[in-house]
Amino acid sequence: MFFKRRKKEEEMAPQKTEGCGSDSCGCKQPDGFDQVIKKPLDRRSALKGLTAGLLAGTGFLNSSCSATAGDADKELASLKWNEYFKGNYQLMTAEEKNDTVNRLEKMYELNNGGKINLSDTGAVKDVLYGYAFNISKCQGYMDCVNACVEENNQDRDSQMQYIRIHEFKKGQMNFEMADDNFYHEVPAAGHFYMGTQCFHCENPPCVDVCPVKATWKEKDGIVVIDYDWCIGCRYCQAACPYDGRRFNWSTPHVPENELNKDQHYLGNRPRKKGVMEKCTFCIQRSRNGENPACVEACPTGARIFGNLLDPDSTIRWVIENKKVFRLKEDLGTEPKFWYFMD
Amino acid sequence: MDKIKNNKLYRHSCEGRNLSKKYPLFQKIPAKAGIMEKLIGMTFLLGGLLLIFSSCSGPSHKDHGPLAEIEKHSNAAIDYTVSSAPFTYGIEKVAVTNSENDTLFFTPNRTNHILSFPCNNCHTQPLSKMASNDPSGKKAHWNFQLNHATEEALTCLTCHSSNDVEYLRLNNNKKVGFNKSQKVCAQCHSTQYNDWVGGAHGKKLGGWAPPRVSNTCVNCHNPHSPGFETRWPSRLNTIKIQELDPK
Repeated sequence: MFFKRRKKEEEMAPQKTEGCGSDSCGCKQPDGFDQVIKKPLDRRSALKGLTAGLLAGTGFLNSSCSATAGDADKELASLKWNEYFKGNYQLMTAEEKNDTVNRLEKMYELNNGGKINLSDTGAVKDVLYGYAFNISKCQGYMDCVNACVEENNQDRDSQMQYIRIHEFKKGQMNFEMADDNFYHEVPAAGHFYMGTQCFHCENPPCVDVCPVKATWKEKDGIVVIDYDWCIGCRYCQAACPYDGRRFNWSTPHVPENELNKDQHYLGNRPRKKGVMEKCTFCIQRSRNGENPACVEACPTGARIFGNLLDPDSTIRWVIENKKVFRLKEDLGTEPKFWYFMD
Repeated sequence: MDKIKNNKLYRHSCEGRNLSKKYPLFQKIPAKAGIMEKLIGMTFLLGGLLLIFSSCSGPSHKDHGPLAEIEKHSNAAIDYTVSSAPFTYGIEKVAVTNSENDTLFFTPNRTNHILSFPCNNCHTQPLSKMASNDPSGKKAHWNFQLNHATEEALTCLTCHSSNDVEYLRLNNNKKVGFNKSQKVCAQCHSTQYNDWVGGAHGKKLGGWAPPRVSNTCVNCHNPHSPGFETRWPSRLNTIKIQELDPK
């Protein structure tokens, strides 16, 4: 596994494409399979690859060529094989994206019996997502956290949450002094509340530090993770100044009846052990024009989401007419998440 | 800018090409100086030049970030391929208009959700004839507790009309339908009203893409008791509590 990752990483350097560069014509860009399998090898890396291949291949052979294994097992093994050698999402052609989406849907069906609706919808044209949070309005009800967990299939066992609601004593805004685990009637007298999550920085430090380019900023400004490319080194978690990223220390577990089956490749599809995840502005919803789950769940209207490039959007009105601020602006991360007061 | 240009420091860094003529400091290295001294001199010179270049052509924060992206983008209305209409499908909508009657956005229909609407189901006679003089009997609308401003500022008849119960009334005695009740609220709460029209106040329904549907005042605030009540948070992260306090 490790060898494979290492080799792929080397391949991530920008390549000169031969041919016309268009997806529609016959000539094909090298995909993940071509990058790995058809790569010219020296003796050393050939041996490395062979060892890794042997290890992976034994398992594959066991199920695919066994006389006792059923058709479903064989199909699953072949799907796994193809999934194993797929490329980085950023380098995939539309066709390859479609293939992996179909494979993942089929694998879920074979493993769990049910069907999921996985999408790879791209960014909407002329859209840059932005978020505003009214700290006068938030009352600490935590409905947003519940909605987020349900929408994004976060691990129930470790109670992973993308959103933190901080309870501050009035008169200061020190995150060290904030209570993130309050449980009493809210709003508590003399306190105010403030939510944090991934701020989808325009200049994201988490993306800069990723050694394998498994996380990046999409055209619409959403910072995403390729869960199948992440090696779990947690550099991004250390680099994020806002505590925006979460790590799967164990295999995430979501009960079948609670699983949200409307999924996106870069969003809420089930993760595995040892990969990072975080808020994606509910990419599976927002790219269809819908509000993220936290915005929909908030009973106070403290959360505002929209297109920064649209002069008629409510988020633009807030930025232009209210007195807004962002956290740690001096770091130059340029978060697309503003706070304001009534 | 001129002031900066005349500044000696600025000239030193950006315009001082012939440094040795202008500044005797650079002539102090004797012609027969040793190699080491020359090297040190060169290092200082190079370092100085590097500083000049980095300070004169360094990247600026101004052309970066979401606000710069907004500035770069044309201010024309966007032709969206997505819409929030599918997500507000079940909501009956009422248009909110400005003074020129242009539709700004939509609010959910209100009258369909008032249980005893239309009022003339009961209010068949003028109020004076319906009023009971029996103090022991239960009053109509007994379940409404008015907990909104003070009694001096606001009574039932500030917003409701005794002549035409089907409508709300404004301060100038004009009628307003229950579907446009925000006009009544806006008479006192003009700041909140402006924030609401702009989009900073009030919950948006469905999606971020147009057409916009926003809750109106009474969708979140009970007009008879508009404050929000305290309640328990809907969840607690017990694992985090355990991690913080393993006992």
